Amino acid sequence: MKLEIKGLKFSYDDHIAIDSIDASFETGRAVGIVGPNGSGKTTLLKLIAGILPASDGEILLDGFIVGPNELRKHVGYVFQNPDNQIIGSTVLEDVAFGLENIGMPREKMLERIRWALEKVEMWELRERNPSTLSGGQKQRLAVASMLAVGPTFLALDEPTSMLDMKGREEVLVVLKKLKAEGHGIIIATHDVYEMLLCDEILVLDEGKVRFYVTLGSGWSEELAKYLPESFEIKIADFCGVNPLNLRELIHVGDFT
Amino acid sequence: MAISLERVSYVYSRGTPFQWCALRDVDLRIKEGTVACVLGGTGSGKTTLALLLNGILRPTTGRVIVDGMDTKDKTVDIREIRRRVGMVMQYPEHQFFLPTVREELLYAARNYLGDEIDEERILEKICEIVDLDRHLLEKNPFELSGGEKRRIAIGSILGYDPAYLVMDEPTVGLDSTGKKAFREVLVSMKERGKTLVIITHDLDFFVSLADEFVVLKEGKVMFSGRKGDFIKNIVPKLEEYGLKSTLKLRLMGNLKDFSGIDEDELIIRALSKGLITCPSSRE
Repeated sequence: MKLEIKGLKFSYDDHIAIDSIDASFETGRAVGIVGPNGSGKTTLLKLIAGILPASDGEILLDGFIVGPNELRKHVGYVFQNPDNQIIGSTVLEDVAFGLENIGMPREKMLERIRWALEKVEMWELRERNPSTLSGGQKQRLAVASMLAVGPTFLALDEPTSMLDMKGREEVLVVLKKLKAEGHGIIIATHDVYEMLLCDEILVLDEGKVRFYVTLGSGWSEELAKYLPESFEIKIADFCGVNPLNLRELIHVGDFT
Repeated sequence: MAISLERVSYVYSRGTPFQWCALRDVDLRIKEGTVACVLGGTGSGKTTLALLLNGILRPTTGRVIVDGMDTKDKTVDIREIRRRVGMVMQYPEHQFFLPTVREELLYAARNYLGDEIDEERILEKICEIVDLDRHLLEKNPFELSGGEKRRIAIGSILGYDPAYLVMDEPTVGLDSTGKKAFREVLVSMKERGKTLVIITHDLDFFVSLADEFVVLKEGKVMFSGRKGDFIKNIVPKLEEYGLKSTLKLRLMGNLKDFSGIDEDELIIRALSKGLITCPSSRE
């Protein structure tokens, strides 16, 4: 499946947050949205997920123009802070909530919940109260609750920035797997390890696309200014390796 | 001058079925002028610890003493404690309640320093330090981006210049420009002898700045000590505390470089010792 945006615009009152953006997203691929604070990353994600309606421009799914309602069926949204979207009193109930909303018959529900929780390796924890979960577990639950309702694309807003290194790794492993299984991933990020997951990087600044490059190519000094501050990127730069070639880099980094 | 915790325990919802002991028998001393990083997994009690330091929470048992003042002592003016100990919360939106950024930034300064303050000068200073565009001053803080909110939360405590600053995950959501600017803020605070207590997962960012580390697990202090000791002895086994180390920290441990200030130097030494190898060069 292919999701395309053409000439997309969005304004908050007098402020233009997203200014004529073109991009396309495909299943089985991940795109990282990078850019300074206030550049429009979260707004763009919300437009793609049908949470905000565009002021102008088009969003197409496999070539057909779709509105926010249709988009929401195909694109799931995960917040930076999982506490913003977890509402169930058990893990099981939290996943059930979305299914109830789409009117899934009760007898089908458990099977679907199990499928979603197993994807994020949380089925064993199904009876737990979400407030007793670790950050990584909460974020995996948020992903499962969204997956259960069946979106093809996942739009994630800095999904690991609130988590410790262990929680990060758990969530990244899940996202990597979902990508391999054919989900399309769109991720707003300031984090090298989240970028590592991506095939393409879209750099936003003041609501406009500054760069739109495949990972490992298209390096320039100008682009480097938009990359996150990180020790790993510094090593790559030091070695004269393209810092966008992150996979190679992290492989180097993982010495024991 | 110091903040001391003496056998501090904190129990949430005491006497109900939801009773939860977040901190147990914590002894800790944060001396004036130190930069202390507090680490721990989810539910380890980090945020509870932060909230105890300026008397937002008061210990269930034990004492928290700020420059000789007990936060539980009813004869002590709690405002005096809070003027000395500034707090930046984990979620900036939890601490906003005024209609404009300007009001938000000045609120604490007006409270603690009185009405005689030079508001324009304070605003100018804050905007410069946290790199905030002045056109944002008349906006509603809730309308801003995550990184901008974070800067306002930090800026609002800079206005009255507290001696101690407690920050809960202050780098979350900051972009690289924001992080660089924030590092400069922290370095200049450290130089001016401010005490910083920072709860963080962002070890790479804070390691060069930190003097001391505190590791919490399930409400108990597992380690508290100097940075060198932390890197030598604790970094190799961070997994035991539900944490993970980073490449930079492992290299620092391996090369016995406990300052972490010069990253280039660290990389050169790591390369020459073969701890990391250069992959094929830039296309």
